[in-house]
Amino acid sequence: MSIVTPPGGFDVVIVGSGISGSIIAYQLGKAGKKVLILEGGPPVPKSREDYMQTFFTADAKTPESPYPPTTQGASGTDNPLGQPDPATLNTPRYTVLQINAWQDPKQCYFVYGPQAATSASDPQMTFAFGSSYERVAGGTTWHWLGTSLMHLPNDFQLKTKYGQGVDWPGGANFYTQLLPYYRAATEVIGVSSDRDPMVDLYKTFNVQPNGVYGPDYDFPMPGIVPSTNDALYQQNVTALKIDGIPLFVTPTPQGRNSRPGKRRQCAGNTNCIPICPIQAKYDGTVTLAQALQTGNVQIQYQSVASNIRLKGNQVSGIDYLSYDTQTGPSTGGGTAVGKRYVLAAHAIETPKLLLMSKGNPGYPNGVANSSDQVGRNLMDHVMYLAWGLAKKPVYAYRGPLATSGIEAARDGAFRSQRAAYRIEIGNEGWNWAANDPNTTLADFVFGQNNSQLNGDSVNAQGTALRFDPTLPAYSQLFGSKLATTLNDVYIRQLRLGYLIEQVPDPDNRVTLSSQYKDRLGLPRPQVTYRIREDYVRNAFVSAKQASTQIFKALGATEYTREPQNAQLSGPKASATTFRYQGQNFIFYGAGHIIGTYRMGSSPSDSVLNARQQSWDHDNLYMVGSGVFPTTATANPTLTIAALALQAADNLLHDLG
Amino acid sequence: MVFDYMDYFVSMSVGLTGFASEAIAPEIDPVGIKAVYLQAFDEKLPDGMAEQILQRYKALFDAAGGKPGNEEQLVGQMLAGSGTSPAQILAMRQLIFLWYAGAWPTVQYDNSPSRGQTFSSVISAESYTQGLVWRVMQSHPMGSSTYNYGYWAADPPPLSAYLENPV
Repeated sequence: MSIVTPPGGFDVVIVGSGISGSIIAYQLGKAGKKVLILEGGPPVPKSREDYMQTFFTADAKTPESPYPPTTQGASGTDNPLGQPDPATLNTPRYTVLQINAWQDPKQCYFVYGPQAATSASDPQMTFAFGSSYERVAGGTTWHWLGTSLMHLPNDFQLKTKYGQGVDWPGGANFYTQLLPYYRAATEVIGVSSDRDPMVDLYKTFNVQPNGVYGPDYDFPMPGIVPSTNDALYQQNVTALKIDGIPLFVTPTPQGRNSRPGKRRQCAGNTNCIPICPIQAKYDGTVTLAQALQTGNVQIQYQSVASNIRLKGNQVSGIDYLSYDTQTGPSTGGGTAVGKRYVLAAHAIETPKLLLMSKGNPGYPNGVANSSDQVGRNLMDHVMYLAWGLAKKPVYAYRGPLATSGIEAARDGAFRSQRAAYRIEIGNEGWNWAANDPNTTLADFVFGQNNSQLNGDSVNAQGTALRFDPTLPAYSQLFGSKLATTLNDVYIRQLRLGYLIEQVPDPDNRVTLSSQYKDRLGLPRPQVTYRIREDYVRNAFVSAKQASTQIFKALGATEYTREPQNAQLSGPKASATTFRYQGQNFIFYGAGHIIGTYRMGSSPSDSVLNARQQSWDHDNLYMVGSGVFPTTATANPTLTIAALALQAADNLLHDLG
Repeated sequence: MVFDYMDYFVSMSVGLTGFASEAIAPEIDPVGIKAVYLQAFDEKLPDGMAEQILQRYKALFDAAGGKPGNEEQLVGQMLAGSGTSPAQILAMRQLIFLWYAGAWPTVQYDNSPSRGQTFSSVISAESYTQGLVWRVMQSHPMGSSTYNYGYWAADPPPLSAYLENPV
């Protein structure tokens, strides 16, 4: 498809067609503005069945496994999963399989420096980043969970209220200004949630009913029904407190259909990540299609933005490189020109593009980077996972991946001492925590003990973990005994995930590799990532203690495995393990890539103003979770969507 | 030819998996996963081993009267070493894994507390969705639900329904 420039030219050029880019394109297109989207990845497939087949046949079913470019190929001795060399790909991206290959740039797209720390308890220890993203039309919402919570007023004033991190520009007022956009974002995504439990929840954070999305508001669809797994928690956690805060279970607002509508009704495929096979869950392709249907939006696929041109302090064009096949040569390129520009390429590729654009007079450190903040303050919700076995069946592996959470401790006075977290109640057994069902299966078929169910393992509370004490250790089962044993285990599996707030650290950053490039010759991201603050590490200690209390209250046996001591050097160097207060912890990524081009109230310490507009170039906007000054405590997508709607209004205002 | 032993392959698989013949190889079988698995069983093992295992099972089955009902007892004898080598016993266990996971396993043993690790390679999209693990968890393959909205709020049918019938 070639770009046909409309009479008068494009009003806006957008880089990226994920949820943010698509929302802005749709809002502008509806208003009659002419929009061009540059998308680095391939188009939305005619049918998602191709992606499904790729997923079904993938040996490692990671969040990225259904999507191009392929994550796994023929294996070799040093590359057991056959991960492709990022230098051979036109749109490589970071995948969770690469975490354990983080020291090998032939397998890992991100380039990391050598380990700086001399011990695993040294706060200077560097890690692999835990979360990944997609470079396809529709973006990373292809593999999001659907959780659609709002941030809290105190999330926007962390510095003022608790002396931690920074405030968002405007502090608590940011919440009030965002409310109408939050409301609109639930309509865009199609959120299923009942109003009453959300009002009850937010009241505990001093948000009055009218402050929950605004007066007289209700969600587009009724809440998704909770799982039988959720019911066990509902019945048992209310006697517990974390840091003095009583616990209760809240059904999670979710971007998936509880009723048939424009998309299909959720059929509980238990596969929201990596892919919903029936598109009951919202993804960015929904809004992208709406944008294209306005007739005012064009999209140029397989076109990777490579440079931003400036004329004076205004953006004057975005150069791009095109390709036909993922491993083939560049087949051309050009410069996209509009009146305004929006970068919506997520929190790694957006700063990379800004930093690559360093040929403009007066901006030797890259576009929009007079503050030297571009690429800095990379964050995630760092996750602590805990898992156990219930006494009675809870019927895991059924329903959406999560239908409820324990949200009560997302804010409180404790936040001056340790990071807040929300607790997600997983419905998918030990799938994430222990690579089940395969690990437990292999243990009972081959007499191994990676699940801790079939050997002499003991947990931290001193409880023997062998599932059937009448069987010898390392049993090798078959026939009906195998079937009933596996059944007994799988249907009792529990998993909790703590999404721990991380605070901005300017040294956690994305820069450009001087040595490694992709197939198009563009430099790859060099990433430095640490969790230095006791504030964040204290939350791991808290999460561990909370899990033990929760599982005890449930009458469940905890199987959470404390990781081995971290290995600090060599190709097998530990990627996400650290030691704190005498205990080893491993963190997981929440898939929430946050920061790297933050908003702020001063051009000296932020990239964007509160309008998500570059301080340096007022015809340049940036959107997505990269604009967040702090991680806050909710999964970010609803806020990403609300902010994109707000940015679209700002653009329309500018365009007149 | 190994495919001449299909009936014995199914019968032996009943003993190995704990699932009824009608559940793993129904009379009306639009998927026909048994043929995929028998082929994989043959191809993944050293030449002739699959056929030797099936011949041994056939001999035991026929000697026991040639009627269904004692499949588990027969495979139990074989797994205990009756007329089978350690390599053949491992192969039979790999077949169990294949039926359950739809993937062919590579088993590495060592002296660690976990006694090593098992890696596996998915045979096909259908073998993944046909895996018996999903049935023993009284559920469905992740990514391929046969149920309707809200099923997760209620208890599933009993395990026997999944062991005895195609789901």
